[in-house]
Amino acid sequence: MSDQPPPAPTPTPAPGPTGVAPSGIAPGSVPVPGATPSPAPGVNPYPVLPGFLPGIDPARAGGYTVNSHLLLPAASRADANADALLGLGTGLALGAPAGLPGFQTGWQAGALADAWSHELGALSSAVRTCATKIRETTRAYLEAEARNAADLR
Amino acid sequence: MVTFEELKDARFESLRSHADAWSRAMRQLDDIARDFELGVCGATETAGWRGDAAGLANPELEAALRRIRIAAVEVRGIAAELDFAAEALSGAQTRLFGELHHASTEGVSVLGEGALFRVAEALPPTAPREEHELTAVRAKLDGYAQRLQAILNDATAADSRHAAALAGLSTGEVARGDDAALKHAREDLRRTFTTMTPARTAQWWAGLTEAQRQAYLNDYPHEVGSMDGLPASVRHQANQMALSSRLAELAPLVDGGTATTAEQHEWDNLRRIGQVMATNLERLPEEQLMLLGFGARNRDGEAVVAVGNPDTATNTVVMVPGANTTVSGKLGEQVDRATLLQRAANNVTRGVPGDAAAVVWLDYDAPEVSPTAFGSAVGTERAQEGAGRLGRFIEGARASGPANQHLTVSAHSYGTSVVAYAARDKDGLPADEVVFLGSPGVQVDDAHDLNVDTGHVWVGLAEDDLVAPAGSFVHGPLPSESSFGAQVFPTNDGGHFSYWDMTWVNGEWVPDTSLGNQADIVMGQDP
Repeated sequence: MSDQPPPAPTPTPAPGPTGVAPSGIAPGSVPVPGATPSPAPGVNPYPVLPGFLPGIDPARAGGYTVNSHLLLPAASRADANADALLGLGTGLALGAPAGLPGFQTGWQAGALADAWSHELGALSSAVRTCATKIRETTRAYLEAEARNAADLR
Repeated sequence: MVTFEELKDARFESLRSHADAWSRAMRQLDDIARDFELGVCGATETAGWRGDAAGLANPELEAALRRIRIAAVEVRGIAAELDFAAEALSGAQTRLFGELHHASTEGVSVLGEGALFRVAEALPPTAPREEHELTAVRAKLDGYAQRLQAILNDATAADSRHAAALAGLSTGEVARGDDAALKHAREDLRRTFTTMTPARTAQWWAGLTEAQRQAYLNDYPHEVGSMDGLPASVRHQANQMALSSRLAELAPLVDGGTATTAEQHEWDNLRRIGQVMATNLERLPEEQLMLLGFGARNRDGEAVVAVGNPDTATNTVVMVPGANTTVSGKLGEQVDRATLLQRAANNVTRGVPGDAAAVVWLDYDAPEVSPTAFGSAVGTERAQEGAGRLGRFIEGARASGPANQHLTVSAHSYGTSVVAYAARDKDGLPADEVVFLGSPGVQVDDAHDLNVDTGHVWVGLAEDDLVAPAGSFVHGPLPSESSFGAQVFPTNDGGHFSYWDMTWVNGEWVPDTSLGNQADIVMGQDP
């Protein structure tokens, strides 16, 4: 009689809600002819695809789960937040307060308003990038799902 | 240098308009941060997004959220700083106008001349005057010149101070966007709220409308709760809000097992503060606790808790504990000691409940001592580091308390070094009495060096207190020695922690000698 329990059976990987990872060429990417990745230990051989979250790279996308329909509202919210940040930045372009010649505080307030107006614009762009990436990635998920479903019909 | 003409003609309402615009931006950024957290980060979580893409997306989303939060904190600081600047500079302008009004009623004219100004008689008499008349006129004109110059100096100093503070609120932290940047942004905000002296803070608050006060409470609860110079009731209300808010932020991190070590410590400390404050349900009305401050600057946490109401008490004692005092481990014990002292002091004047308040001031990193190692207690760094904050707190208590409030600072063990460092500073401590209990030395050889009338420097040292003498090789001579020049009051036996002991007499518990004598001192009576 063994004093060790038998090894647990290896679980069969369960597909996520969309079942299969996206395949094919991701939209927006330009395949480079002959640019076959040459794997090296610890180095990602695949370039980050512009406009996509890097993990969507078809060759690397392994097991994943997602309810892709719930991702689209997230992209919309991120867009709305980007709009709000942009408006906020525009609104803070106040210039220096009037009627305070000779006061460093007035000058500094103006400089700060300009700098923050610019920074909030940059922050808006970063949030917009998040929205775009979520949206494009979701679209890739949905397209892959549609393609896979068509293949199985 | 701000010139006479510049201050006279300045329109500070434009600075206030800017402050209002930044306040609106601050609220919008708060809304955006909340919306992004729930509507974007939360939504992707709800979507059950897992995998390589999600693994790469989540840090990017979190980074964006962190940058929005940093922006919200920094913009908060800018709004407040501009408001404080407008307050300080328009205050200087009001003083200038006051002097000009007095000058005109006394027949004195003041004219700006480029970077300078000239003070002269508006209508000098044509007839010759006696020498003593000329001397009097010159003295009057010199007086105006000096007062006006002092106002311009104050305005220049305020202008430089606020401009420098604003320069420190640049966009760099947002661009960095990491956890350290968020921490720095919060420190920037705290610094903004400590740029005013406690006395100035008290004036500022008194000048706000009720709506403005409420807005500050809602927008800056923790900062307002930490402002020395504000009434205890305001700080208590603000800190209660801030404590609840911070616990709500930390709870999911702790429950989810994702809290950092620092966050876990903060959670333990804040939970303990919440538990101590919850004892209010069982406390007498005159022994209710007020939360005057809390923080997470150090691993052991910070807390300032009053027993009774320092806003109304005619006698208040601020108690500075010694080594090994941590929020999570010892706050309850410290509040118990404060309760005993406050109750004993109240009983000195029976029939007048609530005329004493006792404050546990644990806003420094008390050193750690074990039976075999004195560790950080042999150094003075912790005492020196905390002394500045203690000085500000006492100044604030003086500024916000009732007029002629009798104020005592009482310290135990290592805490006596904190008090001594605060007192020997050039401005000293604005306290009526200073009490040292079980002190191992206070870094000075003579009570005169504490800038307090030596007749009001009191020392209690139990005969069997073996801890205090052991520390004197580091902290200087014992203040109980006659050469020190302080007033030594009788104590009971019981060792280093016996100064709050009660004793059973005629069927009831009464303060023992040490506690009874402290109560007398707190109430302004000789022990």
